[in-house]
Amino acid sequence: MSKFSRRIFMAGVAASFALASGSAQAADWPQRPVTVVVPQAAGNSPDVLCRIITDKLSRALGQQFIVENKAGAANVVGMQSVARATNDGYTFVFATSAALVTNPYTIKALSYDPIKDFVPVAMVAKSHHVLLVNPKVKANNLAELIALEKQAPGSLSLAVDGPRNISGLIAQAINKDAGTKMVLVPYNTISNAVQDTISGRTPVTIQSASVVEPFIKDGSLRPIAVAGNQRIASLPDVPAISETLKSVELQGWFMIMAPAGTPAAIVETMSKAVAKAIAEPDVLERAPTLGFEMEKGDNTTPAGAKSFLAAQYAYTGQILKELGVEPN
Amino acid sequence: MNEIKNATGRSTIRAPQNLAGGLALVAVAALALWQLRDLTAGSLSEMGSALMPRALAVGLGLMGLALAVSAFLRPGLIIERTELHGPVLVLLAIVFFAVTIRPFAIGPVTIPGLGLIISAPVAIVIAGLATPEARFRELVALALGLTPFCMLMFGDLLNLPIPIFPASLIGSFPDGWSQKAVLRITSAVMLAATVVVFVTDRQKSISDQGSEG
Amino acid sequence: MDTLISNLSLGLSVALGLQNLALAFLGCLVGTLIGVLPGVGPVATIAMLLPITFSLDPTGALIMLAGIYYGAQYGGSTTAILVNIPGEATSVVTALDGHAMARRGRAGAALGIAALGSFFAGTVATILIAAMGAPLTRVALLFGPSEYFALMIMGLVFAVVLAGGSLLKAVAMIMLGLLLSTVGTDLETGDQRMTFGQPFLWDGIDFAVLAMGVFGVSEILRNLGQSEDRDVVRGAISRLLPNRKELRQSVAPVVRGTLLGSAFGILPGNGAILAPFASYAVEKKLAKDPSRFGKGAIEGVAGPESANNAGAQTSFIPLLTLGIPANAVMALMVGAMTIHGIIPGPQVMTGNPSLFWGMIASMWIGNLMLLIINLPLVGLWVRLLKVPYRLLFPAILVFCCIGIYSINSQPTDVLLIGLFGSLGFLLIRFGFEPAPMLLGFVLGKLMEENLRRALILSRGSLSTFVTEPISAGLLAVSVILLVIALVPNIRKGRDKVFSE
Repeated sequence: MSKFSRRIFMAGVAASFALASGSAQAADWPQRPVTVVVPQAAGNSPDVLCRIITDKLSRALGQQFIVENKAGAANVVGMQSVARATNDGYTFVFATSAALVTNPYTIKALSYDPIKDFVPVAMVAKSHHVLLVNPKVKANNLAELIALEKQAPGSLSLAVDGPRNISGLIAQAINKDAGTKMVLVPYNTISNAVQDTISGRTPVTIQSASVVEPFIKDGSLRPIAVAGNQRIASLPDVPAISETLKSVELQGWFMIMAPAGTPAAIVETMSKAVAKAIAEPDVLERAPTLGFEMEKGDNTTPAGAKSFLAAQYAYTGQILKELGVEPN
Repeated sequence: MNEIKNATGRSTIRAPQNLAGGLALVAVAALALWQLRDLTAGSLSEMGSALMPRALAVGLGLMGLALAVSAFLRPGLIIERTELHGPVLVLLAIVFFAVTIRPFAIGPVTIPGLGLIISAPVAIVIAGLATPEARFRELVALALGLTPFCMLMFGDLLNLPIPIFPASLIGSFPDGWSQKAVLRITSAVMLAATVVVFVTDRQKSISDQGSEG
Repeated sequence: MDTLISNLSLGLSVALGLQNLALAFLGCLVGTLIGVLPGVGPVATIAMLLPITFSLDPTGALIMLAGIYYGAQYGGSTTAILVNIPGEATSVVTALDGHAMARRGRAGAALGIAALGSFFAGTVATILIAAMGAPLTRVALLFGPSEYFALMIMGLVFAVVLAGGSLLKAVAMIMLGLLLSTVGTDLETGDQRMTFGQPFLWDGIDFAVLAMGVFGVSEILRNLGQSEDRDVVRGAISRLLPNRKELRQSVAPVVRGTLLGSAFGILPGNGAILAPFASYAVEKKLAKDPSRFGKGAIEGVAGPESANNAGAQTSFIPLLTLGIPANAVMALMVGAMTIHGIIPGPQVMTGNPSLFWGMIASMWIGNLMLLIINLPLVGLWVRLLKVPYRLLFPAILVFCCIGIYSINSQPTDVLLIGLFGSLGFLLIRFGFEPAPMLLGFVLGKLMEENLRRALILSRGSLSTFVTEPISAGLLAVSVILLVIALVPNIRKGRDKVFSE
């Protein structure tokens, strides 16, 4: 069955259900438990954030919001399942920036379309990455690090969590903009990467701000720059990369989405509930320890989230093209 | 314990087990190399994705070859005959469970999700028939008794995200009934049914014995 | 010493609070439950329970989660002994002799010695953490990619020692395991390796799927054809718990296992998984009659089980002092800590002493509770084995299916246990042993990753493995171990040649 005819079929199934149960009107939504798919493994920080939010939603909307982890294949498993789910307003996805704007450029024949298969509900949070060095490295800021590298090109090793993950892409962008040749060393566990930077084997690393906070505090790692074009609240003294190099605005973020064709009124109700949930004081208090900055304002509306997604999609595509990243 | 039977007679193949094992390893190695055909091995400073698996596959193939050759030189064990009826049913039970637990798409066809309440007991009965000693009524009692136990344990107590009911039924629960409540009530009904089947089974076997005696 | 005692008494005063005691008990109980259900792992369960802990204070939450972790570790050994399904990489070894003991009617003894050995190991490891936690932090930093690679090579040597039958076949199985571990997306290039274009293989093969297939399902398939021996466990069970002779045989292996486990557990990056394998290899080498191993030698249960538990405890050291989680469960604990506003790392010990020492004391309490929960259960488990096999195996099979499905909600994982079950069945028919394959599989990923990392760091020079002192030392030990392992084999081979 082609994708199009499958969608018609699904819509038919959904419609017959709606008739049978006589519900699915936004006014009395939700009538039964709502599923929120997390395309990541249970227990890592996006999952924890999603559970905090769904906990609030369950209370606010009076129905249980169930988190379902469908991890695997770089978010593809979970995204694909929601792209094909019934669009009756009882399935949502807690999508990552990797799933929405990186995968289309790195995975050949991606089985879902981040723009056409989904409708944005609300932007939820951004995560921040920091460039850090071992304290023995004789560089106090990004300019000095670049100068140090240029004295002996290819001598510095940089620990990242995979060349196509956000930290790896930031590293490649720095190398390209600054003309440096730092060697990327991929680690699939954050802990080993941090450990090897503390011991000095990989003098430089790029990590999520929350992960490295204790090591910055006790002096075993020194922050050099914050990824993006502005400083962050938890590290006010650390300059943004854009203060030294052409702005690299690559960052991680999370957005709640619904399958395309979900009734607009339900999307609207959900969006308002999410915006309210992520503005609650205890959520705002917990977010920084998980490494997130909660979203507020226009991006939390469906229209705002849509234009944010479109801009990020185009921007990431352009950066990856400049870096010469090919899908495989 | 495996009975040790040596290959008898002066056949040229002195260790059939090793020959078959060796050839199987060669086949696995060939399959792996075929799958890796498009990937690059790279150099030591920049190892490609194929270097390690290709080296391992070649090593595995050589070992398989050595094993196969040794089968002609050194005596060894024969391969015991196996009844295939049992294993086939057990595998069938696994496949049944996998494709019916939740909606499963094979190409254009989508098998509807039946949920634990149907997938588990049917799988138990199919698997149970694998042994010649199977008794149908006993298996039905086991299936009826174990399923509510699993539903309560996995679905209710541990709260694992496993579909309990057929996907098409979930929308038709009475208003105001939570899935947990339906789960508990169904479990109670199934347990009661188990007791009935068990008791009638027992009575039947007693009466069978009685008539024999 | 005084500070150690005052620290421990602070910890005990926290851990012995009524609420924390109850939480530790609850955690151990839930852990034991999910441990004995094949497939359901601690990672999924802890993730599900995380929101429940939001309402608890951080110390209580962590005590409960840690209880689940130990409970699951121990429960995994129970299924390994009873039905030959190792739930965790660390209980593969327990399955070898533990299940053989169960078949000889000594399941109770195997379970009992596992509980007692684990308790001893847990006690020693707790004291070790309390006394040396801070200084041991440094050890972790000594290990980089080349050291880990050398360590993995040592692990492969253990796998050779582990194998009972033909050396060629054992090495072939290790290779097969290593090869299977390379299936999936390549970390460095993003290439799909040996995935047959199937997305469910992109993340590689799950350990639980492989173990459940080649051990659990293939065991069922094999038993179907052998009606004469599968009900052996129904035979007379003379004495439930270990007898005097068995206890005496176990003392030394328990002590050695505890030491080995504690040492491996300190290494971050999941060094603890090597501990039971190392312990088994050592016991087999030291035994007067190594041929008993694999057929139900109690030393083969006592040593590795102690090593396993000691390793599980000491792997908290890198977490608590360095903030570096050693495995997926530990990473979840970090998640739990951060939710409660505690960032794990060196400051926890000084900044939040009641949490730190409370958790350490609760480790010991947790071990005591496991003993209290599990010793009475031994009788129940053993009675479970008396259920006729024709009813037991469909039940085991369905538990496996549900358990494996619940890990990732992937029906394809269930299909894979069928596939690997048939593979294991064939391999056993052809005279191969699955255990070395599983060890190869477990070590394979870590080995390739660290090899590649080490070579990137050395810019392609292989000499990095011998110029780094620790890596050179580990490789030397591996070579020596290999020679010791091979010599009797070669001699035996020669004897065979002469006798022909």
